[in-house]
Amino acid sequence: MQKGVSRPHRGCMGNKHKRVAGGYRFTRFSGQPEPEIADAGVPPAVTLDLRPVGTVPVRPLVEEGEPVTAGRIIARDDEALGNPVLATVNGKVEEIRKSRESGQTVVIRSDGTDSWKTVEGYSAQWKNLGADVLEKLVYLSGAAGAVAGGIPTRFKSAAIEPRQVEHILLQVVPAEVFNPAPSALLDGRDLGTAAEGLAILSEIMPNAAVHLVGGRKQRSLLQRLRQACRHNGLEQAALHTVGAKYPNHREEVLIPAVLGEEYPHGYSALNLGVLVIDLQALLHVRDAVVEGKPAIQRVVALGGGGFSKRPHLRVRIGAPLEEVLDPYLEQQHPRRIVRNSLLTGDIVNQGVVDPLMAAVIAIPEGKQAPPLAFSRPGFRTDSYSRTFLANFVPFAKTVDTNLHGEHRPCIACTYCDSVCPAGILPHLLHRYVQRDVIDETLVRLRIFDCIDCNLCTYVCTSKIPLAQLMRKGKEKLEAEGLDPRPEEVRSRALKGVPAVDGRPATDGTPSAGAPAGTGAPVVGEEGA
Amino acid sequence: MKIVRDLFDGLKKTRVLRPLKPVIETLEGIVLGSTETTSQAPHFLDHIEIKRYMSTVILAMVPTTVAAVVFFGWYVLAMILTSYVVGGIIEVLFALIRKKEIEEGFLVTGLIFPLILPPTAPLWVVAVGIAFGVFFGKEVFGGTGRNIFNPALVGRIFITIAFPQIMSATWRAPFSDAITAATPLAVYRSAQTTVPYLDLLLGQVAGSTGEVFRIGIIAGAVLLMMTRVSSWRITLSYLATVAVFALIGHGLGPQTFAPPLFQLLSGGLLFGAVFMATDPVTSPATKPGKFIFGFGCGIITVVIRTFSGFTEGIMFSIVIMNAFTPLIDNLVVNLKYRPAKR
Repeated sequence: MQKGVSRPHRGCMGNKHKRVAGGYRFTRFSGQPEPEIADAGVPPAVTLDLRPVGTVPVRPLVEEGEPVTAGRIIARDDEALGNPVLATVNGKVEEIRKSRESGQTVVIRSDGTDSWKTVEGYSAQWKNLGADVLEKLVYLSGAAGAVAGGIPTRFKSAAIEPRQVEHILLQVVPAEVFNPAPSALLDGRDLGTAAEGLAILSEIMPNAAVHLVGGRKQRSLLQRLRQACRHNGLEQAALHTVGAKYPNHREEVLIPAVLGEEYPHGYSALNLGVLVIDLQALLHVRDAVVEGKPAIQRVVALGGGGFSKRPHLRVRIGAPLEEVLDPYLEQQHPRRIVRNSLLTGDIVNQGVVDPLMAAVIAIPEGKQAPPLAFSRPGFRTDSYSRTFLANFVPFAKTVDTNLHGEHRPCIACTYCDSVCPAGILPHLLHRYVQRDVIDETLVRLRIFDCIDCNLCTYVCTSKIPLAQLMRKGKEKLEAEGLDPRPEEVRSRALKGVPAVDGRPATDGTPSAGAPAGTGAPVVGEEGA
Repeated sequence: MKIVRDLFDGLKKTRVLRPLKPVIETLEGIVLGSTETTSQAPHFLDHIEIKRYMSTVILAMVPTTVAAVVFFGWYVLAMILTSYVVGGIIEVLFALIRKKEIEEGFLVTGLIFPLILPPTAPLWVVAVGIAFGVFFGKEVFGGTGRNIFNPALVGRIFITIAFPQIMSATWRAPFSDAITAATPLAVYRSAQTTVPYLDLLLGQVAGSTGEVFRIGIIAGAVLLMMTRVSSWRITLSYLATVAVFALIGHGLGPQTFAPPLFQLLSGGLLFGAVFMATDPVTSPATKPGKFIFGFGCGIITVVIRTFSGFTEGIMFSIVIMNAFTPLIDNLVVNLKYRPAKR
């Protein structure tokens, strides 16, 4: 089979450009986020999920009616894998309720002040602090929770121990339709701050090599960042570029492409000893350690034609999107609001800002195609096929939720096969699932290599929900016990299992809460 | 816009027209486009649709179609209309029976079919051929996307065998009324003489209506490949195989094998390699499979042209390789995805 990744070759300036097979580049879409920052201010109330994305539910440490300050830890469980939840505004706990997904939610009514409590022990001279203090700052500030899966510290903030991390991979690949701008995230600060963040992570994870990954256009930014890293005593940061194709920003693509390692189905980057981090999370780490700033706000890029203004919005975690976005939304038409990615994100019309939110996209909902749309030149219509003039003229393209066609049987145009980043054949796999022929053949055709990027559904000429059908196929295979994943992945026992050399233990020892490598975690006094 | 929308809504609600619902919905789809929206991620979709895809193929056939009308007169237009009307009726009947919308693939079949007929073919032959092709070539398999053979070729083979006299002896050169049995390939067969290549390129020779204006076909090929609608792999491997095989053969036996460039530019090879072998439904989906398919078509074409009783082998070669398509794909997929490691 094709490995999907060719041997890296050295480009000019000693940078390595990695070719990645498959994928599709979303270019020239109108409604890009503008690279300036707007402050959304302090919301009247915030709703905080005590089970932030990808971690286990935590019990609240506050009661209804209790006053809290922004930055105070309101939920934390050092026995379980996860990160503390911080109050993001000053005010009073109004309500603690059970949320739909069996976790709990805390609603804090704000008093309108915008101050916050710093995390104790921070220092601009962080190099004099030990790794234990750095880890404590990263954990107690909530910064460790700004990465899916968590940043490893000695407090069980992630599935592996800091010393087990072999690679730290900072990725700024603009692979989505709408991407946050690094300059907006830095907000006038120089790249030294990002370099400091990397230096801090290297201090915490002494066995890790640092990699900087971007698209070709981010090369000069990354070169300056590497320079800044040297000033911070980080000599060996490696620089890589990949095509700015979707989904080249995903860890499933980056780890094989940049590190040349396999990415077995069911594993996470951390299970493989790799911490993939974005610029915003990196700045959270740096600000927690150097300035004692708790991770209570996010910078969220606004993109898409549903907005009339599109700054990067600095906003408190837990703030209701409806209110926060109102001044920026195009008011005439109904629109759909999507979290982080148009290809994979959830609809969050009624949602709140969450700790992993990086972009909010608003696109017109229910818009009709113009008459005889199929026969128009298509100056602003995106297509993998080059049947529209937009492929040849430099006009900005638009986005809406219309299907742009009718459902038809598959004609085997094989666009899906060409764009698949996993190198599998969606057009063939979907036929098996449609006919309900779910057996070992699908496993042999590597259906479990699918990374759910949804690109096959996007390009389909016949508007077949290919990715959805493949998900159904995978679920049925799992239910039939035909899942090829190793036992410890299937039982999710990888979480919290002591890993060997950064890799998950393969002896299948059940794991519930087994303390990781360096002995029982020592947790410092709570900051509140 | 609103008036049109209301009109379609009204038509759909009319009780008398209820049996025609698939037809009305198809028309609505053509005029107004889709009203459906995505319900989950991905939240937006590529603008490509089957109508656009098939329209691009038709657009690519416009130069050779126009040339056919110019060369052979308005009669060609009557052939095209006959093909669309008769084939269309069958397509609509099946859509009504299945209660599904009409499939756009027919628009291509209905145009290809008259273009691969001699310009003298009577309209009733056109009607019989397209009816047979659409019915047995496509509908009995379940419609576009499920057929094994190229429907236009199924129709063409049927009438070639059923009416051999009409289909082989009554050719005509452009701008002339003289009936001749001599296409350039037939002339080479009997006299080993070739026609000037410029005449072949510009279509000033006898042949099927759509196959003679070869510059127009090449322009169509460029459009199809540039727009990613057809696979260059099939077209180019087909043509390359014919060229190489003819080169070797002509070197060994110039009396039996026509020279390579003459082979490339005569008969239905360009039309077949560009518009028919590339039909995504009936050709392999895997990339190596496309090369194998093109190679097979090329070999069979030269063999038939050289050794068989027929002077032209395009339609047989493509239909034979159509039959091998599932096998080729299966072979490639099994080689690529060997049994699970674990």
